[in-house]
Amino acid sequence: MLEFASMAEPSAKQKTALERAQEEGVDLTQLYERLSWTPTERIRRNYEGAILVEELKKAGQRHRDAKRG
Amino acid sequence: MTPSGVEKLLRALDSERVAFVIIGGAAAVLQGSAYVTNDLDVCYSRERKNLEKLVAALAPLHPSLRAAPKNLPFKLDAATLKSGLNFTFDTDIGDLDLLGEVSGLGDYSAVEALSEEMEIFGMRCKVLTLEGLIKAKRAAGRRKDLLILPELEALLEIRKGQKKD
Repeated sequence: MLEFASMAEPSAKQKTALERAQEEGVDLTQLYERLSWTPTERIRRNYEGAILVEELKKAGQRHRDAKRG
Repeated sequence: MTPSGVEKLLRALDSERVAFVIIGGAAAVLQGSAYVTNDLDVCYSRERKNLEKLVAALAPLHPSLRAAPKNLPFKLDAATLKSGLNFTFDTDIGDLDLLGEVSGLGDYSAVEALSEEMEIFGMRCKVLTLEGLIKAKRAAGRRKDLLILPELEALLEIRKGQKKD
C-alpha cells in the first residue's frame, strides 16, 4: 500500500511550471509574444499600457461621478 | 510614467554611471511578464560615491517623498540617502522607488549577483533575473507578489527550454 502511495505521488508532482501556470489562468501566448519582443519593446509597451489603464480608470470614475450627479 | 519618462530616468542614471539594478514590476516586464506596472523600482549601491552619483542623476527630476506631508522638509543629498534605506519618490516623470535592500535577496551586491545585463533604449542596464524575482516575490509573500509567481516560474521554464535548444 505504501509502495502504491509513493508511486502515485510523483505523478502529481510532475506537473511542469507551464502546466501549473495554465491552471492558474496564465495566458502563455502572451508570454511567448512578449519573449519575441526586445527588452526595449517590452518596457515601452508596458508603460503605454499603464497609461491606457490610468485613462480607463479616470473615465470610469468620471462616469460614476456623473451618474451620482 | 510614460515610456519616454522611463527612458529619461534610465538615461539620467546611466549618464552619471549610477550602480543600480532594475527590480520589481519593471524587471518582471523586462523578463517577459504580461503584468502591467506604472512605476520603476531600482536597487542601488549604498557606497558613498554612488549616493553622490544618484543625487546628481535625480536632482534635475525634482524628487519628493511620495505620500509624505507636503510640508515635510526633504533635501536630496548623499547624507539623506545614507541615513535612510528605501525611498519612494515622486519625480517630474513619475514614481521611482529606490531600495537599498530587497527582501529575500539582501543588499545591492546580493541583488547585482542575481542580475543580468539587457539593452534598454540603447543602454546596458542590469535587470534582476527570473530566479531573483521569484526569490524576492516568495520572500515578500504579499498576495500581489504571490499572484505573479506562476507566470514567473513559467517564464523561467521557457527560458531554460530555450537554452537547451
